[in-house]
Amino acid sequence: MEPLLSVRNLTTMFTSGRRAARAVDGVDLDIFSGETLALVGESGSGKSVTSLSILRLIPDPPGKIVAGEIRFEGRDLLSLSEREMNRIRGRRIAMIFQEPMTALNPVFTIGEQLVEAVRVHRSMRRSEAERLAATWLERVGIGRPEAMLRAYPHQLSGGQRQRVMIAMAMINEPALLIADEPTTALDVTIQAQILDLMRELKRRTNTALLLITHDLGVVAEMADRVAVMYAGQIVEEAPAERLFDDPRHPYTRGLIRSMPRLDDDRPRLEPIPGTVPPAHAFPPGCRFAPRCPFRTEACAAMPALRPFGRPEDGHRVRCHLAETLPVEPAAAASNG
Amino acid sequence: MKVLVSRLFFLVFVVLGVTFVTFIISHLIPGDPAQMIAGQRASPEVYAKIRAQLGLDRPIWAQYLLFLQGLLQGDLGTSIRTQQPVLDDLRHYFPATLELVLFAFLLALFVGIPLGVYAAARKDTVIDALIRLLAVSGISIPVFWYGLVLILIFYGKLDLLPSGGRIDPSISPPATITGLYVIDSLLEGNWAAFKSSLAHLVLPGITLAFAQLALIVKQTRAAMIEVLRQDYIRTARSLGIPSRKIYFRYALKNALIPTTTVVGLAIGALLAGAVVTETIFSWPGMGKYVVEAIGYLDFPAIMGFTLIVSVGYVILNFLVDWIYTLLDPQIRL
Ligand SMILES: Nc1ncnc2c1ncn2[C@@H]1O[C@H](COP(=O)(O)OP(=O)(O)OP(=O)(O)O)[C@@H](O)[C@H]1O
Ligand code: SF4
Ligand SMILES: [Mg+2]
Repeated sequence: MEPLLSVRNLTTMFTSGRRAARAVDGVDLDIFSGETLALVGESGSGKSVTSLSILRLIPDPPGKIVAGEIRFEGRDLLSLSEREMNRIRGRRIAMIFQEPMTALNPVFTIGEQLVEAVRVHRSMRRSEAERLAATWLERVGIGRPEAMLRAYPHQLSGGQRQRVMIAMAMINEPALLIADEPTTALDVTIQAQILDLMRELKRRTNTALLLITHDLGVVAEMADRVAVMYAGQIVEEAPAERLFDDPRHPYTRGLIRSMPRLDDDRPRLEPIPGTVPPAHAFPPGCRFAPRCPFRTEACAAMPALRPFGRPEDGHRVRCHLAETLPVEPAAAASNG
Repeated sequence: MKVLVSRLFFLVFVVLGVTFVTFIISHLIPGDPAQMIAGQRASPEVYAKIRAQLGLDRPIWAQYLLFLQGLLQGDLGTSIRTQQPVLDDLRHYFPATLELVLFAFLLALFVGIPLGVYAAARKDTVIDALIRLLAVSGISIPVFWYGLVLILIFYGKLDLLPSGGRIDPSISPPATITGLYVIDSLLEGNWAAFKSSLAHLVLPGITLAFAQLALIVKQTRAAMIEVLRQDYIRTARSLGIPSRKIYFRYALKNALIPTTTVVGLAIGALLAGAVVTETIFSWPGMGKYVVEAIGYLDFPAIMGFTLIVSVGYVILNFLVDWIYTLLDPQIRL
């Protein structure tokens, strides 16, 4: 099956003064219709830059996509004009962001913003667009949608705003929704509600979801497949269950071990020692080497992202020792 | 309602304050209008009679009370120079000033704001640098200097535009409807008068507008740059809204909130600036009238002018407050 979105060798650089940083460095990703791909990794690993690059929303300057291909519905997005790109943004690919408090324009009503989101893509009368907006507000669980249309963002709670953002992103029923940490800024009960809502809408519209998060609990609950990012590269990719059962990259193992879980029977959480290096100072060779407990001489050379096990398992790892890494009892046990 | 009452109180307070200060200052200026009217060689009797006529023989506080009393009846006194009621004089000169100030205001607004938006949208490019250069020169070069330069070039060298008056002397002005020649001649369908009066507006209009235009450009650019960094602009882009619309609708409405303050101040500055501009371009408005009044120590005329300008200024500020509420849903009067 042809993927809906196919990213190859995506490379995005930021330049400030004489310093250049490859925040995203040769990323490959495939997303199929209707599936949920989770993109995980610590802060600064390049998740947001990857997703903004897909919609070509990287602020230029200082950023620039310097290489790669982004095929979506048979077209290379990187070769489209700005005008053609605008017909895809919000129509075929939509996006929701982490900060619901600032993502809505404070001087326009919710109704004005929803109606604009519709009418920029579809020739529809204002009254018709308003009805559609009200329908979507109801769908995302907002009571009294008619009143909400006339409200301004500052009159809404964080959870309500994120619901409005979801309605705005989904109102044109895009083929792909990119959600960059959609629940991080919300408190726990609201988080669960928003995730439920996204699952429900996905089922309804068969929209594919690229879900960016650093919460593996969210991943376990939502994702079909997972891509793990570290220092601008994909380091491991696998179907969700497989990734939790048999993580093959030391970084993935570190992430799982450092993650709190409800069914926790481990004695304590072990954070990964050290931090993600900044994009202008990636180490040569394996980028995880300075923090890796399994490091050997071989790791001075950059490992390739290569299949692990049978190719049809869809498991790929960027580590010289992927095959020889011992099976992890803690990781295997934790996904019971 | 409560707002309206407090605003009215404020207006009364301003009128009292402004008239009081102007009154004191104009009486502290050395010089004696009675002497000027009577001439150097008038007899003491004639001089005393003129002083009494003008009310100058009474104590200052009595003169001030008299002035306030007249004010309550809509009487601003009689001009010493023209011997006409000040109110009639001002009414006569007001439309010319209004036309000039309005023209300059529209120029500053409708050229200044788009330039500010373009500069912000093209931040750190050549276009931005040029627009900023224009803004800096507008702020730092004195009005009379570029007024004279404009006259020198467009009237003196190129002979493209007239440099004085409101309309060509060979063309009769349009009948008074609004008092603004450009509008009245249009209403009348008088094409020649329209062209001539518009041409006469260009140089003084630009001269008067330039400094305020520069300030509006500067403020709009700064506000736009700040707004364009906000998350909601990224949201708008992610929805496929075209850049033009993002700049001129989504971002500008936010950027106009801080810019409105500058625009409000600009109107006041234009009224004040009209005095210099009208003098340079022999524009028959209130500014020219008051300059002549000052030369003549014409207290009632000076008071009347100051009063009208300050009341106008206060009312405009109310208007600005009201515009804020239209732009920013979080502000209520
Ligand atoms: N506008 C920018 N200018 C310069 N550098 C940037 C910019 N945006 C991102 N970067 C750099 O790109 C790298 C990756 O950042 P990115 O925001 O993609 O991380 P992330 O994985 O989304 O992290 P988080 O979990 O904190 O959101 C960082 O090193 C960051 O410094
Ligand atoms: S390649 Fe070497 S250093 Fe890098 S993750 Fe694998 S074992 Fe660790
Ligand atoms: Mg991010």
